[in-house]
Amino acid sequence: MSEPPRLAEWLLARLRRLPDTRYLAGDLAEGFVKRAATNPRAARRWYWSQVMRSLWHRAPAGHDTTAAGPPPRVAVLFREILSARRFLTRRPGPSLLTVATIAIGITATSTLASITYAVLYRPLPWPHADRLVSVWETRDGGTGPARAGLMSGTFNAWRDQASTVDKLAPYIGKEPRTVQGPDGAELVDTAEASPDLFAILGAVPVAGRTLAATDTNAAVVSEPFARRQFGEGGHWLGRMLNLDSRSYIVVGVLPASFAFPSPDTAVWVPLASSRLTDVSLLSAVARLAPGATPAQAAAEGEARARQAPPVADGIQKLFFRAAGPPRVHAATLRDVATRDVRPTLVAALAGVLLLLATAVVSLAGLQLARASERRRELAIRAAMGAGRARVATLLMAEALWLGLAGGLVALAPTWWLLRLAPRWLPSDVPRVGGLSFDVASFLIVAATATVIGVLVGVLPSWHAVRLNLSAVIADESRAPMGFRTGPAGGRSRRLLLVAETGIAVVLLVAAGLSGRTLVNLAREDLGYTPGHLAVARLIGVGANRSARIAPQDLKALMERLDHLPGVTGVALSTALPFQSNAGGMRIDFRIPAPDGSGQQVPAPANENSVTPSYFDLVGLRLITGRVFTDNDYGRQGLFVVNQTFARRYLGDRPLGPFDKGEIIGVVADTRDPGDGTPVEPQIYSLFDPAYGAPLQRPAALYVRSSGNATAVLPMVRAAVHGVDDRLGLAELTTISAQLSDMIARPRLYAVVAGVSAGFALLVAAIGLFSVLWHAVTNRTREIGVRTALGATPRAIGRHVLAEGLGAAAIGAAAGVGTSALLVRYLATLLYHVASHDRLVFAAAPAALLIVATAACLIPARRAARVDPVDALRAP
Amino acid sequence: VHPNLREFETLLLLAIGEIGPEAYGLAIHERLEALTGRSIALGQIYTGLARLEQRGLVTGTEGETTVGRGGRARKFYRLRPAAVAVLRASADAYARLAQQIAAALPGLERSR
Repeated sequence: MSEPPRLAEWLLARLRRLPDTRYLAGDLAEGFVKRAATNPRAARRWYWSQVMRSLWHRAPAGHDTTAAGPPPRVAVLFREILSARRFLTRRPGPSLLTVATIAIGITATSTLASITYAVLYRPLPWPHADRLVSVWETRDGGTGPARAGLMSGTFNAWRDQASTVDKLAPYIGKEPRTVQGPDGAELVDTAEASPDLFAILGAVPVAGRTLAATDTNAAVVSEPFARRQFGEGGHWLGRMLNLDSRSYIVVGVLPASFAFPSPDTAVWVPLASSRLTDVSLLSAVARLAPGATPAQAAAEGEARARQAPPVADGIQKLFFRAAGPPRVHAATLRDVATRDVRPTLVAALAGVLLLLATAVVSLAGLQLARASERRRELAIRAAMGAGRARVATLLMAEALWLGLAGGLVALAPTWWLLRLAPRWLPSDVPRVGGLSFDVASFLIVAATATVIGVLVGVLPSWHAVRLNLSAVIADESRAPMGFRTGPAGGRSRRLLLVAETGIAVVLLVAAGLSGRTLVNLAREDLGYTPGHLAVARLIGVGANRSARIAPQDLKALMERLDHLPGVTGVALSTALPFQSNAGGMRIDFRIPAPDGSGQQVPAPANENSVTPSYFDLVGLRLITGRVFTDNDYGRQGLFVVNQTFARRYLGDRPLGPFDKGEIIGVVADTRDPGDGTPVEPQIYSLFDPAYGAPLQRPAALYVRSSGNATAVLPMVRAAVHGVDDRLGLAELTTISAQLSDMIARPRLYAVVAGVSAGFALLVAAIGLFSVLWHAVTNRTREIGVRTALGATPRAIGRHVLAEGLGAAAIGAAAGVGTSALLVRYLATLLYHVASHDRLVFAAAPAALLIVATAACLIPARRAARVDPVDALRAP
Repeated sequence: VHPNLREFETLLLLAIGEIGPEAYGLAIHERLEALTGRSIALGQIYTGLARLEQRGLVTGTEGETTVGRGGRARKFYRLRPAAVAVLRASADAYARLAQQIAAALPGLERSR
């Protein structure tokens, strides 16, 4: 053993602070050999101790360390990486293009990945959330209950003998109740909860306690609600709270993070004991016993459900739309909350990653094309001692720079998109409330940037390693002469081009279809004009929920609102907008039979009571007859109907009186945007404020303003409060905001498809450009020969162009074919657009071919300008 | 300057002077360990030599590549004229110090 210890030697080579390490290492080696001759172990010990003790010494300041030998590899690499930046900035065009493409890719990927993480994987706010399951039952053949839950019988049978679940708690959520708030009556989201619910979810009150089994009129409130309702200062316990007509005493305050069953739940009251003794449907949450699975819990629940006392078929049909043996289901709370959006999110993420993959391939091709431009420079570097590995490192460093620059650029848009995500995502996507650009998002951006950089650099680096130095330096152009034998398997790259262009066409088709859907929705004739219209539900805190709002209050309110600055009209209606057609209550209207026999025939229709100003305010078009006027107050049985009513029940009979009343006019049909179902018959009756507003039916207040509808909302609220502080407004919004929310999903699809299609086009263009550019560079000599043999520049250019467009055309055809197969999955998302819309199917490949031509023209022109003399004489 | 360092540098100069033209790292190291009777790190030798070089007291020249050193050359050190003057001054100082100690010792021994 005459070799010095390797590790110690290696360590010594890192000792940059020591002077003359080269001689020092030599001395150590010499000393080691001398000692090893007698005692190898002692020699090793001596060597180690010398190295370790030398660690602490450093060369004096100003000592010339040139004699220290070459700097270590890491430093070279670093210098190399720094110098790589120089090349990138020398020719900024392609670099900027690459950085922009990478930035778009990273932005899309990391935004979507962050959203996916936050929605699907972020832990729920409750302890042991992975063991919390929601349980509900169904009946075979039923289309699903209106509200998922367990029958009280099932619950009772299961609770007493449960082995797969630790605890099972019933509750009833999403119960809006009126409460007297600081700004008048408010609707708050409440829940009836059993005491076990708080135990299962591990609730830790901010103040007081949670509900106990003996409570009847105790309430637990959320902290934000307590602040709003009772003010800051924390004197919340023991306060009285009137919900609808019942009084409760606040016994506890839960933190805002305890958002169960819904994020808006503000008050929890005890579950009425009758809920468990009567036949009823209860929501239920359970904590699984350690080791138990949701499937086991479901099986146990099903067995208990069959032991439960039988329930009449009629009640089963009411709850489950079918009767029969019960099925019990269990799923973790997270799965229940995210099951609707999971497929969409996962599919979108997969799509973005696919797109990113094609982008990486294109960019790698572009980098390769740039490297092949410099092959002589690189070969000379390699030959002059840089080594192929160093050249490969240089190319990798360039790509890494591009990736990191892209990541840096992507930070701002990703931050911005994530900040806005809760607003632009459809409101039914759960768990996006707390979405923001956090550490996880930053790590995703950084990781994506690095991975892209490495992947983009692999192809050119690999070619650099395989570079045939002597061939390149001696005669670069004598190498490949055949047409499709570029150094990087021309065939596979052609295939990639076809794939890229094909994907672009598929996305263009999707973008075209969803874009047309959006246009159709936006331009749809709703039957009314939605601009500058605010709408809210009028609520009141009274003796009980069915109390009417006093007539004098209603009249005072109408007058007050009429005189508000900026308000141009006020109307009342018993229907809120967007409740399937014009909404309202379904009534059995009867009209005389059309045959004149005097018999009454049923004419089922939706009824909506409106004040005379309603028609003008909402912009409902009058077709024939007239609408209500103020003079009609006090007259019974006047009706206005919609066109569908008139067409279906009246035929061509004239308007006029019949024994129960009189139809005085016909107005246009109204429909909700994107609602493809047929319009239903509708009648409008006169809403007389003199009778007050029946609160069991929603009383909707419509306010038209001359300017921005949102601006008058606070004034409207104040006016309502001013009339009587027991009145209030709920669901205060503007029609435009509601319309915008209703088309949020199609708009999102259109924007996503559009951006993806644009990105795919860019990627395809880069791919085409770089492959052709690379080919032209490699075949300069061949082109020279052809020109010398009589080919015109035009013919050469055309040849190159044809090669690129050939691939693009095949890709476009493949894309159109694929789209035709895929569009049926889009059909449900489309509105008034055929899924095989000819315009879209013609425009998508056309757009691709135009972009492809532009991308191919530059290399084609370069090929056409090759000077045969230069090309042949070139070294 | 730390007095120990000055002493160490003086010892370095002495070792180089004693070895003569064949003074290189390992030889100096062995000489110094013999002179002081304790183990010394080569790193300390080289940092000291670098300091002496900077002050113009020694010059280093690279020698031929020798077998048994992993292909690394030796660096030979020679004293420059200034070093001889420094050594002379040191010798005087040590002599004075020795005299002072000798003068002080009888009194110290009595007081015990």
